[in-house]
Amino acid sequence: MSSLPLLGAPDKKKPKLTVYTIEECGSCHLKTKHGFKEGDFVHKREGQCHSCKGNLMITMIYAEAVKVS
Amino acid sequence: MVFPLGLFPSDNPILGNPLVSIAIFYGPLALLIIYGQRIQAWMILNDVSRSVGKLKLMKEKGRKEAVEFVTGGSNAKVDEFAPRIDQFLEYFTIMPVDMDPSGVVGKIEHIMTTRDDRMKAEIRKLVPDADPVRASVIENLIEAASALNFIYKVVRHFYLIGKKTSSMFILAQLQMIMPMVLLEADALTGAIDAFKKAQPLGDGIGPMVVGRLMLDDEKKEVARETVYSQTELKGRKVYLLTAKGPAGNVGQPGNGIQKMVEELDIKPNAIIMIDAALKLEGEKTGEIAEGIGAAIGGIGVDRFKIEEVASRHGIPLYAIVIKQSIVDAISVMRKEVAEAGDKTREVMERIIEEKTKEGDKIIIVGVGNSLGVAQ
Ligand SMILES: [Zn+2]
Repeated sequence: MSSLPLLGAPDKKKPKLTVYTIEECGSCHLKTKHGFKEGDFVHKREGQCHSCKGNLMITMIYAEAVKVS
Repeated sequence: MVFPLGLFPSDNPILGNPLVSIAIFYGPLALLIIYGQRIQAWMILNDVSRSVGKLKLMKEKGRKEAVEFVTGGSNAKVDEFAPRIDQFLEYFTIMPVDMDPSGVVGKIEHIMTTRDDRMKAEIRKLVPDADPVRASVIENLIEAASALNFIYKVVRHFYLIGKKTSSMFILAQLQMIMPMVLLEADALTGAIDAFKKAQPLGDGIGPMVVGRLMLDDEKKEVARETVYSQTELKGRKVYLLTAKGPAGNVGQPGNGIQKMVEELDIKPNAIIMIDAALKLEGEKTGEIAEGIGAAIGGIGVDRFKIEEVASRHGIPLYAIVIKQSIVDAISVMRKEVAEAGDKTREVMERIIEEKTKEGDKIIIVGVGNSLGVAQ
């Protein structure tokens, strides 16, 4: 009843967030994005790149709002 | 007598009576004048009690998640661990007297270190086989759960006092600050989800930017849970300092810098600090701002020490901050913040080029929680 907004409507809707892990190849800088799995951390070495055998490393882990289409 | 708005036909024997129409029209008005405040008080009470209920749910979630994480989901251990965790949630810290403020920072540091030691020892006793990451997650979870517990108890206290004394003004004050309180509690609840999975927090952007530069060099521990390494950048000798990841630590950058400058005899020509900063509502998440001074939050011990060392040795302090809301800072890092990392490094390199010359020594500090960020 109370806490009625004076101007406009309050932002009540929270976007649903999904967490992604971004891997990057040290040589060809190819980026791959997949869902976060437990044990991932930033700067973790993830073996070899599929296309050039360079070293893969996790460069980012972030949450992104899922777009509802 | 005038019939208000001519609503009632004058040929109706009851409604046509002028006294009745006066009663119908002015009755509610009189009621509102006499009982208006009470109705308002009742509405405020309702609103506040709903918020108190929400806080209670959040507090219970915090406790439940902490217990679940410690027991690893096995019900058999709940009876053993739950009472210990409940005890943690009630831990308190008494801040030193500040009537005579000289030397108070040292006392605060001593108390906070003791608290930290005690917490860590208790967690080791509780889960002796936990690796550093897991132990730090438990510590962070308990910290968040006890903050939620504290918020709930304080709000409930004022709510009950307001109800008991039927003081609308206590309740109204509570209602006024409630949106801020709920925002903070929301942030803590979001933090719990990130802690559990050891995902990097928004606050981890400092350790992320600095940690990237430390990857190939030898890391030495310079203060509790704080590491440094040395490298070469744009012809300058660069010393990088940050909390030790991927466990959830903030380290002791104050002690670290002090030791590097005064004991290890690294006399830097500049100190650059990279940290997350709270944005004002309306500012963009992930915006980068530059400034002067020690960019570090917390209770103030580290900032004090860094300012002391810097001013004693005449070292300029440069700050780069990445803006985010309180919720973003302690929940999983947002995309905008993670993507600001590269730009932050560009800004840092520009400051190095503009403010120092080749051959200079520079200390670069990545301030923040290193959860889920290695170096
Ligand atoms: Zn590659």
